[in-house]
Amino acid sequence: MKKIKKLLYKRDKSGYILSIPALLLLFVFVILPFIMAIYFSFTNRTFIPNPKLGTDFVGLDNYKTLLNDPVFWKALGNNIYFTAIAVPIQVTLALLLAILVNQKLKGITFFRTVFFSPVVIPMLIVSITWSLFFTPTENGLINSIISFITFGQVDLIKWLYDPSTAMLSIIILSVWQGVGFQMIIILSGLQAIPEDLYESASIDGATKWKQFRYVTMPMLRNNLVFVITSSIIMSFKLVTQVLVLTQGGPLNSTQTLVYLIYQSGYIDQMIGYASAIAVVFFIIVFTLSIIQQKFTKMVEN
Amino acid sequence: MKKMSKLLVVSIVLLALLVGCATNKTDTSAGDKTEIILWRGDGTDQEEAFYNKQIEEFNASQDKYVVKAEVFPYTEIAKTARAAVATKGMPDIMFLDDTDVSNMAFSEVIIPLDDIVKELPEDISDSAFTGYKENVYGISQQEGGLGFWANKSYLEKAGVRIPTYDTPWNKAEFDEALEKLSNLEEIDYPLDIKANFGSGYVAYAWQPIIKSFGGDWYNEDTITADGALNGEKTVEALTYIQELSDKGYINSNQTSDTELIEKRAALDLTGHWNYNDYKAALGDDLVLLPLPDFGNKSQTGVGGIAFTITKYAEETGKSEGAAEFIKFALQDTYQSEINSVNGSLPVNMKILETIDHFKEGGDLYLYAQQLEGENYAVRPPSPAFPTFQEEIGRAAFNILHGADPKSELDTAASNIDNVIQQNGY
Repeated sequence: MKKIKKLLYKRDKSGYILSIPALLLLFVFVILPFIMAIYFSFTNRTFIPNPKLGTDFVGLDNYKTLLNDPVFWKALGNNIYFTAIAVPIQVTLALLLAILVNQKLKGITFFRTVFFSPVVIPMLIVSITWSLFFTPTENGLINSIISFITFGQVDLIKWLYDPSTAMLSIIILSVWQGVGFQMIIILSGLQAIPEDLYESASIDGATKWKQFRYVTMPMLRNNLVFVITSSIIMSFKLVTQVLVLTQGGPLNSTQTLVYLIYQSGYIDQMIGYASAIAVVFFIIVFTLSIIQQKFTKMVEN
Repeated sequence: MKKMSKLLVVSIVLLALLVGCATNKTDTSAGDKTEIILWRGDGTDQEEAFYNKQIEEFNASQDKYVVKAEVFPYTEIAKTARAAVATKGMPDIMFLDDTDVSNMAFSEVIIPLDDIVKELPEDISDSAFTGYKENVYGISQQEGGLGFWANKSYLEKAGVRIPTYDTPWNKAEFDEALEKLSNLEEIDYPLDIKANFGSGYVAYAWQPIIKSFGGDWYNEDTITADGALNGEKTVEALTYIQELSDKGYINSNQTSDTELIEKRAALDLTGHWNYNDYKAALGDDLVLLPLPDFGNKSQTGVGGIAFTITKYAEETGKSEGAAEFIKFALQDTYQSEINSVNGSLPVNMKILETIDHFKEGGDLYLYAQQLEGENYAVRPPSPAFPTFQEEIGRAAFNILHGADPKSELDTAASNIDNVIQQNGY
């Protein structure tokens, strides 16, 4: 008994013991499937192999096919486009909203809740709701607002039905859904900034802008780094919106890597090929986060 | 100390394994009867009652077998089955959408049912049997009907002839009808083609139109796409549908599906499942019309939920009991009830003729004629059907929105055949 107590209270050992359940789950549901995916990516495995045909090793064939597949490059391009547009907008908006709801006003909690509320709605529901807003006819909510404001001078926008606006539509609804989460994280950073920093800054004669630039921004750096990193990785995982709204269309304009994995694995039942995409996807995201870490370290120094 | 921590690790792992295994035990006998597990999708209250009654009465009539149903969300059955193959937790009988049958047959998850077919009444329509290669793997107890639902008073107002099974519109007449109907003030788009229903609906409901042009989604002999899906006739058919959209006869940006009952459309490409709602909305104005004859007769679509028997049932010696149940469920008594349960058509043609709706003069007489005439399109009986559906749906959507039909269909055909070849189908 004493021994167990000692074991549990001794710092180095107890940590390992307590993390066993979590590690076990991580191993079974994340690491093991990933190892299996690497293995499958070198085979022609299908969803349920035919007992007579079985599963064979095909070497690097899946990777060769992948690199020669124009849809893969299109999907990768779309992912980069989505990230490059959505992340800056989302982070800037989140920062502005956070500053807005950080004021000490009566009933400000209400506004915080309002801005945060889209986050608690599942993406599936958000997508279905927005598909109605994006109705491409004059009856659509957004189209009728635009035509009302501009006195009908602007042509109807076909939103999800037009290759040039489909991804943009998905960006709009994704930003709307995700911005509250980033806002809360930045808000927590804002509230951790000691009040006296601002007081001494204003005694020194700093304007509001200078206070923001030289007090708020440096103090928020860790929060912003986290927000940017997490939203880049999350935006690479873009799939629910595509699955619900466009299935990768029109003309592959909303095709993304994760949707391609779903399509190859679930619809085409080519588990080997889907695994190869998953492995490449992992390498891309992994590289991105390493570059990001290096970059933030560089900025810190 | 080290020993202690090792012991802890080992005991936790063992505990986890125990919990995992505890649910793995299956009991295959109930008393001295052999238990047969049936998986089916959920349905409406009436359907639930109907399926449960079939099972109860079968169990009461048997001293050898007892059927026990496990119910899943309808759309999850095929996915659950695929997962079950991996974990070896298969049932004995499965209800599958008939488009999933080929895939399961290819993977040898289900077994041929030709012996059962021989013992069934002769009056059962061929459309009830879902085949893969030379064998029958699925048997449906209900069939769908597909045609145009139409608003008779609009047709009369526009001066359009009302077609019948024997005298469907030809292409010129159909064009003229659409033009006349689109001139009516009340109508936005004369034909509601359900552009918003997605790829599954395109694969099902557009196929009769394609087939009437002389094309199809697949080559019947090889069950591949190239040469058929991108063949001359199919391209012609989809180019025609694109023209309908360009002329404003169909709405390619459709988001609702109530145009007919809101009296903003005159024709509606759907089937038997809308009968009650449409009848309530339009009353005597509602008529059922055959699809036009574009050269290769007026065609219709078929599709049902099929009974299948698993390899697992065969291996555990329960396939005979499963077969008994399927034969029992296809008896005349149940066949004559099925229409009042969910509006679908019984597969036994003799029974079909006894139901008022399907008799001459009845609202749904056309469906009976279509099924007897055997001019219907069967969706690709290919293990790659999910790919067929996805690619056909994607091409159709792009074509409706202005893409070049030939190049879209070429891409779709090559993607499908690539999957067929890669997966060894």
